This record gives sequence, structure tokens and C-alpha cells, in this order.
Amino acid sequence: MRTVFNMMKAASLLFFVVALSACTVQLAPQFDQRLYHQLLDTSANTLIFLAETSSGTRANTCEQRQNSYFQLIGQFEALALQSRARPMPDSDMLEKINAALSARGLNTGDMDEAASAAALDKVASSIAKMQEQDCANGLQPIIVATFKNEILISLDQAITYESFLER
Amino acid sequence: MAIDIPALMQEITQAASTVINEDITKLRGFSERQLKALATQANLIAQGVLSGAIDEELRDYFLDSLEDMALNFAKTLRGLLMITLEKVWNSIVGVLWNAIGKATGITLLTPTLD
Repeated sequence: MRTVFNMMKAASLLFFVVALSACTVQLAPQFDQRLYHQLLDTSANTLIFLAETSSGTRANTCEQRQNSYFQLIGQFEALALQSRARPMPDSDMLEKINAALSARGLNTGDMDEAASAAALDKVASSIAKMQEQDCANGLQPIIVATFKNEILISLDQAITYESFLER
Repeated sequence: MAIDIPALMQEITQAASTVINEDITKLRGFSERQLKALATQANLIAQGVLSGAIDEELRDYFLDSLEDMALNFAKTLRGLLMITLEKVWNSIVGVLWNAIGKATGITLLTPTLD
């Protein structure tokens, strides 16, 4: 909550930065309906896969799950690529906002790509790590639950951001 | 025709408030979900380590992941804020240009700054 409050305080400052110019601005990439629907479909498939493995797995049956792992990793890597492929607005305002945010201690890197790209990369790497563990040692239910929650956190970030882009 | 300043201020406030109220509700919901999920993740890691299911290598992986996800949460929040800022600003510019257009009788195209 405090993070939101701080960011809103920063937003009010930024608003005056933006207010120096009386033009409409674009501060985020365009909504991509196809990407968004693919993201929802792939998320649903991921949740189905996680439900299938929720009671735990054995390493000697890993081969049966390899295709699912490879398919999901590939799909999320492709979604991250699509997210990055969209042109980012090249706005002077964006640079001023970035500088103002950094000055307020809210430095989370340059805004040179859609915020969902890093979250989608994280989903792909989480599934890859889960696959590695599954095939090496099998997965106890608590480990599946930990991977599942990790994947859900990143999926929520990506889906929330992409849906917000529809404006 | 002169612009009715109080009416214009009311219209601007209304336009901005509509966007802000709707978006803040969504931002608050997102933040609450993320904070709860991050706290749950910390608990799952702790339970896994205590039970011996999570070994040292996997523990280090999950801890690094937790850090990455916290950073991505901040990045996402910033991205959402940029979208809200864009919507608020553009709604205000739209109201102002419309008011000037009505007062002057000239059809004004709202300028863009990309």
C-alpha cells in the first residue's frame, strides 16, 4: 500500500512535469489484442498443467511431461518476444518522467520495454527450473506449490499490465 | 463566446476523477494481490526448507526469484501508473481543446506528442 501511495505522490509531481506541454501524450505501448488472448490461453494451459502435477511427481516419469514443459516454455518466450517487439513511445515526456521517478528513489530501470516482458521471461524461467527439478529429483507437493505461486505472481503482473493497456 | 471557467473546471475535474477513481481501484487490487502472494511465497519457501523438501540449491533459487518478482512488481506498478497518467492527461487535454473549439467556433484537432 505504501508503494502505491509513494507512486501516487510521485505521479502528482509528474503530472505537473507533463502539464508543461499541452499535447496528448503516449506513455505506454499500444494494446495488442492477439497477444492478450494468447496470454490468457497459455495461462489457462499452465494452470491445468500445474493442477495435474499438484500431488507431486517422480523423476522416472518426467519424460511424460517433457512435451508440456517445452510447449509452455516456448509459448511464454514467444509472448515475451511479442511484448518487446511493440514500439515503445519515444517521448520526451517519458524521459522527464523517468528522471523524476529516479529522483524520488523509484528507480526500477529504464522504461525501454513493456512492463509485461520481464514478467513473461520470469514465467518461462520458472517453468524451466521446475522441469529441471522434476527430471532430476521429482517434485514434492510443497515444491510444486512453491513453483505454482511463483508462476501465478508473474502471470498476474503480465495479465494486469496487458489488460491495462486497453485504454 | 467566452468560456465558462467554473463549468470548465468542473468538467476537467470530472474527466480526471473518472479515470483516477477507476484506475486506483484496479491498482489497489493488484497491489494487494501481489503483496499477499509474495508473503505466501516467503511462507512456502520457509515451510519447504523446514520440511527438508527444499535443499540449499533450490532455496537459493527461490530466494533469488523472490527478489526478481519484487522488482517486477515495482516495474509493473510503474508501468500501470504511466498508463493512468497518460489517460488523465489526455482526458484533460481533450476537454480543454473541446472548450476552446466551442468558444471560437473552430474545429481543433487535439495535438499529439509521441
